[in-house]
Amino acid sequence: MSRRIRWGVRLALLVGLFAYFAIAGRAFLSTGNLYTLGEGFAMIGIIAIGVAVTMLAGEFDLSIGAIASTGGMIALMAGEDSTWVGVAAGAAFGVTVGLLNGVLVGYLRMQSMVVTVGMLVAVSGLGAELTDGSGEPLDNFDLSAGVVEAIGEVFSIRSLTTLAVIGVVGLVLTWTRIGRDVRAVGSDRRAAAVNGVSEPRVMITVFVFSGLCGGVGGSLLAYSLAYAQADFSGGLNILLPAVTAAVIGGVGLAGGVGTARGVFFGSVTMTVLSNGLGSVAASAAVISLSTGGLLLLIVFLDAQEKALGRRLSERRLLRTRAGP
Amino acid sequence: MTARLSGVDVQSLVFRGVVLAVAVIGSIAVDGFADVDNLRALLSSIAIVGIVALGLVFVTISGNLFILSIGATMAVSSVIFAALVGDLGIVPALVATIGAGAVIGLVQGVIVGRFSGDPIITTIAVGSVILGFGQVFAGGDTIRAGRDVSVLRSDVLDVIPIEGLVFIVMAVVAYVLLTWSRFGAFVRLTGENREAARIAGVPVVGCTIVCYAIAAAAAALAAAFLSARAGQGRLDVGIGMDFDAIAVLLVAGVAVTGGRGSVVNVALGALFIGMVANILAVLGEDYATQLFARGIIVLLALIAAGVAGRLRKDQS
Repeated sequence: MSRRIRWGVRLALLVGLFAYFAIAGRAFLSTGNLYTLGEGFAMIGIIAIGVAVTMLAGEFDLSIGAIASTGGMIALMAGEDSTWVGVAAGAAFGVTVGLLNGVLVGYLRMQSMVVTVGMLVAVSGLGAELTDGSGEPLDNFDLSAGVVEAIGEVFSIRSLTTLAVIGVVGLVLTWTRIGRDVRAVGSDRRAAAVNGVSEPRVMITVFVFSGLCGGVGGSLLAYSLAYAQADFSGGLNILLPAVTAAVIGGVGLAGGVGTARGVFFGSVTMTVLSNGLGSVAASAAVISLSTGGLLLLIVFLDAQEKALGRRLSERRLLRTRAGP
Repeated sequence: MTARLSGVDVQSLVFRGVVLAVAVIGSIAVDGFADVDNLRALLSSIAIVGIVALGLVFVTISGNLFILSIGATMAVSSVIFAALVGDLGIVPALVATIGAGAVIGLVQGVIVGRFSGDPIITTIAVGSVILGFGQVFAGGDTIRAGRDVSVLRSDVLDVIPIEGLVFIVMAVVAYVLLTWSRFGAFVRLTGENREAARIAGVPVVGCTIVCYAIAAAAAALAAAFLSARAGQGRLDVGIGMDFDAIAVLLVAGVAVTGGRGSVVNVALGALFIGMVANILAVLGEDYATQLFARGIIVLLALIAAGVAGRLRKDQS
């Protein structure tokens, strides 16, 4: 599939969903619901961009959802009087875990799936201990009100933060050396090493970044809800829509492929889908089925495309060998 | 090669030494740990996660990391068992539940093995789909078991809990299968180097599919036991089970790149995590602290595996 067709399909999906819910849903296009969409996007988007950056480098951060839920607890515990202190604490927690992930993957050369799933278990365990297995409430409602306050009717601090993060990632990926290095390591590790790219440095960068996204996203979410819930699913409920958003946005599962713009579109699509299903009063079953089904479809297409590419390059190879 | 093998052996020996040490120290220093009743409770508690982990190890050794749909598979299986047991009776319902689990695994095996879907993303997605079906099927309610299923939570010959016996039998079967059978050799080869295995004539796709079917069937069996314990099937049965089982594999040091891994260590891994939790419980600590302790153990195991792997690479 050419790039233009891919973008066409993606836009059609988004516009189609949007149009359907605008017609079928109750009050889908009201200002209030646009604000709600923004709040949904804030969480999906910031987690999606974090995990997408690790995917770009050919790795995967399974622990980001757990970092978000435990980071949210830490934020509310440290920042009972100040949102800044809380978010900083949540962010510092995310960066620490990310650094550990990065060192294990980059310097000790372990598989990122293994490292991050272990980190997920460890971080969830910490979260359970911090809240005694229940949850952490925020008593200072003024702080919560500040975080959820609407800016320009439909935005909030949270959605603007996510937009800013995605924008910055877009700039960094296109214009800076580290951005090009991340992509280079993700598409061809050996070639990147030959060209002097430091793989450990790239690994530290991407995992610290995804930890940061998890920490900040989780902290802001916890403030907006004035509550951080103990999470026994290991953050999978947070991870699933975000990963789906990233792959809908064209981030490849094999590394090296993807853009911040794509992640933005994917996140908006996922937000519209889950919010819209709510507005047409779909059951939990329909939401699980459609999110999972959509992700499965994309995995399938991605694999088919890879297989097609392999066949094409084999044919090309045969032709060169048989050449004149 | 020798260096690598000895590296693995050292890692495995250290692990077994630690397990033994915890068992010995627990029996001597903790009042009530070595009581027969407590040991029975311990076996019963590690049996469930042990059964799941012994199934999962097939997928891991065949080179496909983990399954993240185990929780969803268990949720649906517990509901299926509870719904069927009234009309069919216990044994047929068990068989049907395990069969349903095998089918769920088979589907994932086909997607990963035949269509080269990414193993992690595929199983996350399938997990969500299965849970969706489960919600349609159960309608958000708990399903009461239609007959008395207390036989599944009784002790065999008044000594050993039935799920504990199943766990031990499964460990033996898994050991024999993976160590001595042709199928086991195929699984190892597939995990070590898929492409080389294919060229050598190993049916890699079939192997992958069977491994997924085994893993999901084992999860379904474990869910049936949980269902029997509660006398009902519920969709929240398997929550967190994915990570319980993965934690066992990480602690046991199963090579997650595939190809090698010891069934004995997996069984010991379940025992180890179970013992630590049990000792904490006997000492009066709550479930949250047990999870925290498990997290620390997994973190230490990860770092140890990383350092050991690095040393091995430097040696060779």
